[in-house]
Amino acid sequence: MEIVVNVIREKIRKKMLYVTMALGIIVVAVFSTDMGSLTIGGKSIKDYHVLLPILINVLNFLNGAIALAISCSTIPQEYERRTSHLIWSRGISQSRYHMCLAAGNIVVSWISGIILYATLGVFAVVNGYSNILGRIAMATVFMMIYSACICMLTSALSIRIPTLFTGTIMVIILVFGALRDALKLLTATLTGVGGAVIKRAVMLIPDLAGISNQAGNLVQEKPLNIHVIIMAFLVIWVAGLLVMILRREEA
Amino acid sequence: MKKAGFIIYMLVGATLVVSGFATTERGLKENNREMLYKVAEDYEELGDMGFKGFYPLDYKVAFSDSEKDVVVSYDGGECNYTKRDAVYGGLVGSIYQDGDEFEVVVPEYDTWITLEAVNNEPLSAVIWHEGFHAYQNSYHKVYEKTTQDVLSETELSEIVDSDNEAKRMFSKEMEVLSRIFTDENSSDVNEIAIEYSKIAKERRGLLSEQVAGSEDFYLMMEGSAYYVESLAVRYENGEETYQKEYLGTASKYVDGNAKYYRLGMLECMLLDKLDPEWKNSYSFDRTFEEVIDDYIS
Repeated sequence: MEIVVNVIREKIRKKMLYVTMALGIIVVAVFSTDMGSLTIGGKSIKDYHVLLPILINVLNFLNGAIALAISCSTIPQEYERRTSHLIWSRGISQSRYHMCLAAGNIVVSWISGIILYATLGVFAVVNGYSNILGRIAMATVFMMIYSACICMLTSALSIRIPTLFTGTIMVIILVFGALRDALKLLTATLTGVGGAVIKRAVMLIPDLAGISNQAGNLVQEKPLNIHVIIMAFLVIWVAGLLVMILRREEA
Repeated sequence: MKKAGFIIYMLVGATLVVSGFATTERGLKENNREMLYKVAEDYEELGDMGFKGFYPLDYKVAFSDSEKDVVVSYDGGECNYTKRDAVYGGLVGSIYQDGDEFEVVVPEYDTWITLEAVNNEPLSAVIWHEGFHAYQNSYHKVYEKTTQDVLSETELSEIVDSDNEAKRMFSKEMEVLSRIFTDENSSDVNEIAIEYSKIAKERRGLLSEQVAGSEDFYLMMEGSAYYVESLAVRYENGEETYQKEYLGTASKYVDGNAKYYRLGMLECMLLDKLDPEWKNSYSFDRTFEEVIDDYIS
């Protein structure tokens, strides 16, 4: 627990966290006021019921970026600073140590996500949609799943792979995962063996767009796709397993 | 304690794997099924649109992921399906002839949804469009009746799009026909029909017999299917979408085959104005231009 709290303390001191959060708040503010509007098919979208799923997608993506950035260097830095050795001397296993560091990152990303969603809630009330506050609160659960996926995967990769590569791989996963629907459309046009291989490769990318879509479905009172949610938990579980079983040689 | 924790973790994983398998949609996916219900619902309001014996769900609908097809027979709300290897690769909306039967082949809803966000065309409208092709070929045997050598849409477009005069006059035809909905005072539909017929004949003189015949074929086949599709979209997505996506682009010439869809739709709309009952006696054995000529001669 102490390790988790330390990670949280350290991360909330980072400027990057606040810059990204400020960006998220600005996005919500711009599209929730007369400063800007989303125009789809020549029609300006002002109805919060329609706007919300789009904003949820954007906020989840931004919060995913925060989760990635804070998780990318946490474990490598601990080893660089030799903090890990102090931990071993207390008899804490590597598995537990890594898991605590990953958990700390998850909590920080949840805090930033909750702040972003709170902004969304405030603007919903300002725009006269206080009746959907409950659903926005429920949608934060999907933000938590989304950022937990990113934090866990990033943490798992960062144990054995250099930070730069981890960052690069995770940016690809984050972007492709957020654009998975578009990728699915694109790969549907591919034929032959190459096409079949690419389609299967796309299937391996976590369906981050699907998670955000479920949050959108929730606020629009549409049915949820349970399979997408279970698969997201499975991604977290697999990444968690990797966090526990992967070891650093320095230890 | 550590061991117990690990066992619990593995049990959670096993539960997730089993739940993942259990919730995987196999066979006919729910959102694909919904599309068929949507078409059936549309049909209750739209009916056969004047084309005697037309009902898109009379034909099997294959939802394709480009590797496997789920072929569905819709029967009064019940969907019976079989699976097979995809008959077409890639993203496709088409018909497929299996023995004497014509089937509709469309992408899965999950794949189409991204495109729909861009083109405002619901998958149900694609089923209406392709279902109409199945009807043309099952009920009216259009392919069988076509005796001449029809150029492929790509070959035809390459020839026509490189002929500036043919392009100019095609644009003129589209503009003239668009007056039936852009010109508030287009009370004399006959005048529009006469002007259109004159330009069409003049333009025909610029083209070889094969090119002109191929154009007639696509105007009839694709134009009428696009007309049917437009009415389905109008019903499903409302007047604003219909105006923007169909009427708003109807008079615009574009290289490729879309212009035949647009002009053919406009010809159907003109015929609707000339005689709302024109479809009763139409059996896809004459060009729309010939039918229009009947009303102005």
